[in-house]
Amino acid sequence: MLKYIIKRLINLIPVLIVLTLLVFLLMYLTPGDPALIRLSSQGANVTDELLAATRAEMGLDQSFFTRYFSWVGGILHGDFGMSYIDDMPIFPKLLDALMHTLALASASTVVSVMIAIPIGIFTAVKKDSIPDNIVRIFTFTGNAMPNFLIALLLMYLFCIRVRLFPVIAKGSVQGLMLPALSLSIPMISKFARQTRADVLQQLNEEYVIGMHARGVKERVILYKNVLHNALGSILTIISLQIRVLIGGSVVTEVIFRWPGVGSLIMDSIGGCDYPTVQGAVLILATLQILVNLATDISYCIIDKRIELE
Amino acid sequence: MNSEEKRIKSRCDVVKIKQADEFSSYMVLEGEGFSMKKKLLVVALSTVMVVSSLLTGCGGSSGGSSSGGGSASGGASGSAETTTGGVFKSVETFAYGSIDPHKEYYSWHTQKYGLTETLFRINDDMEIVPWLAEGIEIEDNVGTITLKDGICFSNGNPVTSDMVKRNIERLIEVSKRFNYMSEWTYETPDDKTLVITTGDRVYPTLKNDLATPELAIMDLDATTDFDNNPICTGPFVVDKFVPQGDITLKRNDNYWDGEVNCDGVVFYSMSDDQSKLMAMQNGEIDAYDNITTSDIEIFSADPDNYTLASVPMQMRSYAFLNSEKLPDSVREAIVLAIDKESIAAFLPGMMSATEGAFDTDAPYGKVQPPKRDIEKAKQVLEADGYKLENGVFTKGGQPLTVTISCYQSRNIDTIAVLMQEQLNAFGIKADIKIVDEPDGTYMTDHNYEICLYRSITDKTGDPMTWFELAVESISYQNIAGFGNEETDKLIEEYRYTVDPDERAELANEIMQQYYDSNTALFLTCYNRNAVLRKGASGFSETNPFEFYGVSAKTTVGIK
Repeated sequence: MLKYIIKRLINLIPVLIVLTLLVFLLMYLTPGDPALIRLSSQGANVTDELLAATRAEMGLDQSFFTRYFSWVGGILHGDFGMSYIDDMPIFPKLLDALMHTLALASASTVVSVMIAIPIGIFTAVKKDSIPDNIVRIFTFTGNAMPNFLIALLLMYLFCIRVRLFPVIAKGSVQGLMLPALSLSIPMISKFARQTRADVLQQLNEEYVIGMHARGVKERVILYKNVLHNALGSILTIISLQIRVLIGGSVVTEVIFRWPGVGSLIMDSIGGCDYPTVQGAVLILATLQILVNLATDISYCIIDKRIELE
Repeated sequence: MNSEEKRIKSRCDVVKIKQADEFSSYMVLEGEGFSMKKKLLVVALSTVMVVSSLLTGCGGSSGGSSSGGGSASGGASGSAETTTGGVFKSVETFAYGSIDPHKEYYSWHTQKYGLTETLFRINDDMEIVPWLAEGIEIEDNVGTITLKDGICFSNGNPVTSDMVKRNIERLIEVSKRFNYMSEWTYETPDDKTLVITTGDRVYPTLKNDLATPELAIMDLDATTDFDNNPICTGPFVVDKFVPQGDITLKRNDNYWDGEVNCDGVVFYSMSDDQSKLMAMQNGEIDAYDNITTSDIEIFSADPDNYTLASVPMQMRSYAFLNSEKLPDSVREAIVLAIDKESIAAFLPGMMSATEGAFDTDAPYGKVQPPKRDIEKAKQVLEADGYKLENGVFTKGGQPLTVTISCYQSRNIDTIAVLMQEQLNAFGIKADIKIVDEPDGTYMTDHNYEICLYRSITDKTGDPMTWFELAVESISYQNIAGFGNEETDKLIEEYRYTVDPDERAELANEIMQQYYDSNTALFLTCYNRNAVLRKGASGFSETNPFEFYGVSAKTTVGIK
C-alpha cells in the first residue's frame, strides 16, 4: 500500500508541472493589460511612461518563460506573489480561504453522510412504503432546489422566524452551521438516493438470499455485508461531491459571509487579479488530484479484492 | 426656512416612512431567550459542527469581533437599549486586505469608519469646509494652511505641520494618482503652519484636493502596521481588522474634537443584499447604505422602526458614443431619443435622471446637453439619408443597428436593457454585449459602439477632476474620440484661472464643446440610500459622498 501511495505521489510531479504551465498560460492569454487595469482602477491618468513603469514594476515586460519560472520558483518557496488588487501577499489569503472552504466542505459532508446513509438504507429496506415515498419526495425536492434558495430559506427560517442563529454569525462553529446545512440538503438528497439504489441492488443478490436461508440476522446482513458491498459506489459519489465543494460554493459563501475559496476566486476574477486566480486554481487542482488519490486508496481499504497494482 | 436650508432639504430628501405591513412586522425582535427544544437543537448541531471542525483542523475565527458596548449582542437576543454608548454596527459590501488610507481607495472606507480625517472635508452642501485645518490662505501659487489648536492622534501625539507634510509625501509615493503633487514644494515654518507652493502657477483647487479622503493624516512615526492598524485622528481607533473581513473599532479616548458618543463601531463584510436586509430586520445592524429598490419598499413600510434617507450622489451613469464607429447623425439622434426619466422611473429611489455631468445649480453646470426630442432625432437621421421602414431606420437597404456594451454593476446592465428598448422603439436596432469588467475591455481597447460606465463626475466641488478624468485628450475616459487641442487649451487655462466667474465661464465653455460632440450621454444620477434603525443617527446619511459615515456624534439604534 505504501509503495502504491509513493508511486502515485511521484506520478503527481509531471501532472503538477503541466498543471502550472496550463494555469499560467490561461492567465497569460486572458485579454486585458493588468498594468492598465491597475492604473485605471487607481484613477491615475495613464501616460505611456507611467504604463511602461508599472508594467516593469509588475514584471509584465518580461518574457513568458521568465515570468513562468519566476512564478513557479516563488511557489516552491511558498511565495505566490502579490495581489494586483491590494498589493498584499497572496499566500496568507489563499491559505485562510482554503481553511474555510475545507472546514465547510468537511462539515457538510459529515452531516450529509450521517443523515443520508441511514435514510438510504431505511428506504431501501422499506421499499415502496409510505416513509420511502415521503423521503423520495424530499430527495427530489432537495435535488431540484437551487443553492441560493436553500440558503435564503434557511436564513429566513432559522434567523428570522425561529431566531435560533444570528444572520451575522461571529464564531467559526456558529458561522459554520447554516452554510453547512445549506450545502448538506442537496447532498443528503443525492447520497440517500444513491445509497437506496445500491442497497436495493445488493439486497437482490444471491448471497443475501443465501444468508437469509442460513438464518443470519437481518442486521448483520445489512450492515456487515450489504452496506459494505454498496460502499464503493457511495464513496464514488461522496468523493465527487467533495471535489465540487472544494472548488468553492460561491453563492453559499456570499450569502453566509463565509470567506472561502469560491468567493476569493470570484472577487479576484472581477478585479483581474490574475496572480491570485492562478494560485487558487493551482491549489484547488492539486487538492482535486489528492482527493482522487485518497478515493482510490479508500476503495482498496474497503474492498481487498481490488488490485492496486 | 431660509434658502440655504431649502437647498439642503432639496438635496437631502429624508423619507419618512409609512406604516408597518405584515411582512415587516415579524422581523421586529420580540423574545428573550430560547426554549429548551431550541437549546437542545443548538447543542446537537453544535456538537456535529465542533467535531467536523476538529476533524478538519480548522478552528480559526471567521473574523469574529469583540463588541465593547451594550448593544453588542447578536440578533437572537433583544433587549431595550438607549442611544448613548453602545456599539454602532453596519455592513460593508466590498472586502479588502488593507486599511492603509494612502493605498488604493481604502481611505474611502477608513473615513467612513471614523478612523481617518483630512485637512478639509466636503459638507452636505458640497462646500469645502475645514476639518483638521483651521483654514487656508491662497495667494497666487502659495497656499498657507493653518492647523487647528489641540488636534492630536489617537495615541495623544500632537498633529504637526511636519507630520502633515510627510503624509502628503507618503501619499505621493504610495498612490500614483497623486503624482502631480510631487511637483509642489512644502515648507513648515512652524508646527501649525504648512506652506504649499504649487509650482510656478496658481492652483485654484488646492483646497478641494486637500479634502480628498486619501489625504488622511496618520502618525507615521508611531504606526507600525499601516495595513492593519494605522494610528489616525478620527473618533475611533482600530480594535481588530480582519483582512477581507470585518473591522472592529473602539472609542478614541484622546479624540481632539470632544466626547465620542459610541463605545465602538463594527463594519461587517457582507456583499449579499438579502443577507443585509435580514441582518437589519433581525436587529443586528444599526444602519447601512446602498440599499436596493425592493429593500427601500420593505423598510419604508415600517416607519416605526426604520428611517430611510435618500440623497443624490455625484456618481452618474453615462454612455460613450464612439465617434469612430457611429456617424455624427446617429450619435445625435441617440442623444435626442433616450428618455432618461423613464430609466430613472424604472429604478425608483435608486437614481434620478440627470441633465449632464454636473448639477444644474452648480456655477459650472449651467450648460447642459439638449433635452429629449424624438421628432428632431428623426429629422437628424432623415437628413442624413436614413428612412424609417417597418419601424426601423434604414440606409441603402441596411437597417441601422448599434451594439450597447455594458457590465453588471449598480444597475448598469438594467440601464442598457432600457436603452435597448427605447432605441428599438425609436427605430434603431440595438443589441447588448455584456462584459465581465469594463476596464479590461472596452474602456481600454475602445472596441465598442455605445458603452456604459459610471463614476463620480464631481468629486471635489470643482469640474477639474472630471476634465482630467474624461475630457482632456490624454484622459482615461476620453474613449469616444472627443479630445482636441482647442479644448485642451481651455482646460489648461481653466487649471490656472482663479476668478470664480471666469472659471465658471471657462468650465461651461469646455462642457459645451464636450456636449456638442455627442460622444457622451449622461443618463442618471445615483442616490445614496441609507436605512437607519430607530434611534440610530449620525451616519452622514445626508452627505452625497459615500466616504463619510460615522462620527463622534453617531448613536446606535434602539432595539
